This record gives sequence, structure tokens and C-alpha cells, in this order.
Amino acid sequence: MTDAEIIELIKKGDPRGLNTAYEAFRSEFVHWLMKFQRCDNEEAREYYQAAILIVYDNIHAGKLDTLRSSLKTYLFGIGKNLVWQHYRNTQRQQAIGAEFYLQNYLQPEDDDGKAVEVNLDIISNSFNQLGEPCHELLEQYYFHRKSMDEICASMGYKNPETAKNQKYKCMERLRKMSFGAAPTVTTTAPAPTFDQPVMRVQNK
Amino acid sequence: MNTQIHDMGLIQSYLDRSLSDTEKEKLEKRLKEEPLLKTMYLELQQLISGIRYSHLRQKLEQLRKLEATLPEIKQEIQNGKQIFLQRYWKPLAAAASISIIVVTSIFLNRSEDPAELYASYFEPYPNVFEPITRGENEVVSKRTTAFQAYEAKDFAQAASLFNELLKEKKEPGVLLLLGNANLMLNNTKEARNNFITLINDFDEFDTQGKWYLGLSYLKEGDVKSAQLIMRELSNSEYSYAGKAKELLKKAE
Repeated sequence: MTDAEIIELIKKGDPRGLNTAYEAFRSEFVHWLMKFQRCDNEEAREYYQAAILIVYDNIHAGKLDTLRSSLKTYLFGIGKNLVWQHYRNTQRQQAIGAEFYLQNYLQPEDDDGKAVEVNLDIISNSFNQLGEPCHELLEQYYFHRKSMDEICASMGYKNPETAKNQKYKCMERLRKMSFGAAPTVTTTAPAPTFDQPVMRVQNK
Repeated sequence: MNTQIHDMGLIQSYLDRSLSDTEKEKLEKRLKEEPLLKTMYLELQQLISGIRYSHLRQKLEQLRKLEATLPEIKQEIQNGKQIFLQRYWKPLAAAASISIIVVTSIFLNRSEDPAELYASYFEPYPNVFEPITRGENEVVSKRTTAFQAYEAKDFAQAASLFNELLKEKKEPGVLLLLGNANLMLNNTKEARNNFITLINDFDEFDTQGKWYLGLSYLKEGDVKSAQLIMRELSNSEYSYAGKAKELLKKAE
């Protein structure tokens, strides 16, 4: 399967895209990380899982629509960023799992570009308890980046305005379930960015 | 409520970077002057991150299930060991050569029992096609029930439902899991047909289909057919190449 085909499948939400990408780059990535970043096997796999999911997220966000390098090069760049970020923040005192790297990647920023500490586990658990149609609607809008028109058509709303109102109600429910009390917002070190790999890439 | 919906839409457009310069400036001014709007903005950012994290966490679980079925990635020889071997290979080789010849000839003449090989290499392919999610009051479709049964290791129900699904529409993922369910139920002939259909009719999961087809031949004691397939797999680029090579050595 070509890079373009993998990206297309992922955009369509077909699980074959992610699975194929995962199996295709796994061995080489893990070997590379073990050799050049001196990780052990388990640590390298955790980085790999986080890196491939960051690429997956970036595909859904449209960030690979104009990819000039290969998917492999992009993935390796993300992986390198992850390791360096972890080294910088923790001096690599301990191995941490893919969930940690993903949470780090997803932390929102404040006006100064600093990461805002958020308990994503709480929000994620609340989101999973939302039930339908809220879960589907919010995932389609915020993760798959479907427009209100598309959501209106696929979920059978009368018109986009109705879908928009429903989205607002769903977000309100999620907000109350997640925050209950007022959220605590603290800033920490500059947030990592994973839009572009560190390595300069050549055209494929 | 309409004002709040409008403000939420504005903030969303701001986060999407789709506001014009004028609109952006106006909103940023309001964010500085209106604490409630600022709170709404911060909360929306966090909620969006949480929604994305929820989806990625679900995908992570699927990848971990997939990882559990893939061969272990062995660490390559470290540099130190390579230097050692380069310096001492002649005397080591001389001493080892005789014992290697003896041991290898014994090893090659004694292949493992096919049924034992099958048992040590077979593991049902995980359900990475249909995430089983929450919701007690959801109306559960036949499709979801089928995948749920597979995950719950109720292979009889899973097989029955997968067969019904295939009558409506042939899907590679369903064929792959049906074949696995049939192997678990010792319906080896049906399993073989599932994998052959998968390989012939689809490009996706070709490698996985061949792997399990090879295993199904091994299960029946047809070592020659299993070897043919494993030989082809061992020359491929994918993860199964290593597993296939390993199995081939033991089966010969």
C-alpha cells in the first residue's frame, strides 16, 4: 500500500489504514530507536505507538495534505521529537508509556505558548460516558473535523443549525461532567509541537 | 443561550484559525476584557483536547492488541559484541565448527510435531475492526454483537453472526475473524475456505490471510502445504516474515 493510500484510508476512518501503517514501520522504527536513542524494546514500542497515533491525529487534522516527505520520514521525525522532548523534561529518569506522550502532545497552550495542565483522563472518561448522539456528534466534529453540513447529512438532523445547537448542548453536558467545580488551570514549560518533524525532509 | 452558542462558534473558528484578521482582533480584545469568555475559551480548548485524547486512547488499545499478535522485535547485536566476534572469530569458528555440524544434523533430522507447532504459533487475530464501546442503553446491531462475541471468545456465536454478515456483504476483516473463529472451533476446513476467499478476493489482510492459512494446514498435519505458504511469507517485507522463517525451520 502506498503512503497516499494509507493516508486516504485513515482519513475515511477505515481501520486498515492505521493497522497497515503500524505493521509497515514497526520493526524499523523500534530498531532505530533502540540503537540510536538507547531505549529498550518496551520503551521503544511505547514511543512508536504514541508517534504513529500523533501522525494519525495529524492526518485527521489535515496537516499531511501537503506532505512532501515520505510518511516514514514524517513518522521518524515525530518519534525523534517525542524522545528529545521527554529527555528535556525529565532527564529520562524513568520510562513512561504512550498515554503520557499523547497527553503531553495534546495539552492546550495559553497565550504565551506554555502548556496548560489539564486532566485529560477525567475529560476523556466523561466523554465516554456521554452516550449518543453526543459522543458521535462531538467526535465527528472535533476529531474527524466534519462540517456541520456533513454531520447534518450523516446523523439525520433537520438542518445544520439544529446540529449546531445539539453540539452546543452536548459540549455543555461534557463541560459539567468534566469540570463539576471550576477547573484548575496552571501553566508549565513550553508545550511541545508535533506539526513538523525536526529533520528537514527531501521531496519524495 | 443564543449568545453563548454564537460565542462558542466564534471561539471554535478562532481555534481553527478561520477568523479574518479583523474578527480575530476583536475576539482577542474581548478575551482580555471578558473573564467569562476567557473561561469559556480555556474550557473549550481543554474539552477538545479531552475528546481527541479519548479517541486516540481507544486507537492505542487497538494497537496494543495488534502488537500482542506480532512477533517480538529482537535487539540487534550491540557494537561491543560485534568487535569481540571480529577479533576472535577464527579460533571460535574452529572450535565451534565441529559441534555445529553435529548439532545441526541432529536438529535438521528432527522436525517438530505439526500440531505442537500450530499450538505454539496460533493466536486469534484481535478485533481491530469494530471498537466495542460504552453505552448501556444503545440498540446493539448484529454487527456489533458479532464483534462483541468474538472479543468475549464466544466463537460459536461470532462465527454464526459473521456468516450472516458475509451473506449481506463480503468484508476482509469479517472473513479474517471468521476464519480465526472457525480455527478456534476446530472447523479447519471452513477456516481454510475463509482465508482462501480473503486472499483471492481482497488485497487487504493478504499477509494475515496467508499466515493463518498456513497455520490451518499445519493444524491438519499438511506440513508440505504449510511450508509452501510460509516460504512465500518469509520472503515478504512484513512482520510475519520473521515468524514464518522461524516456523519453517521448525517444520522442515
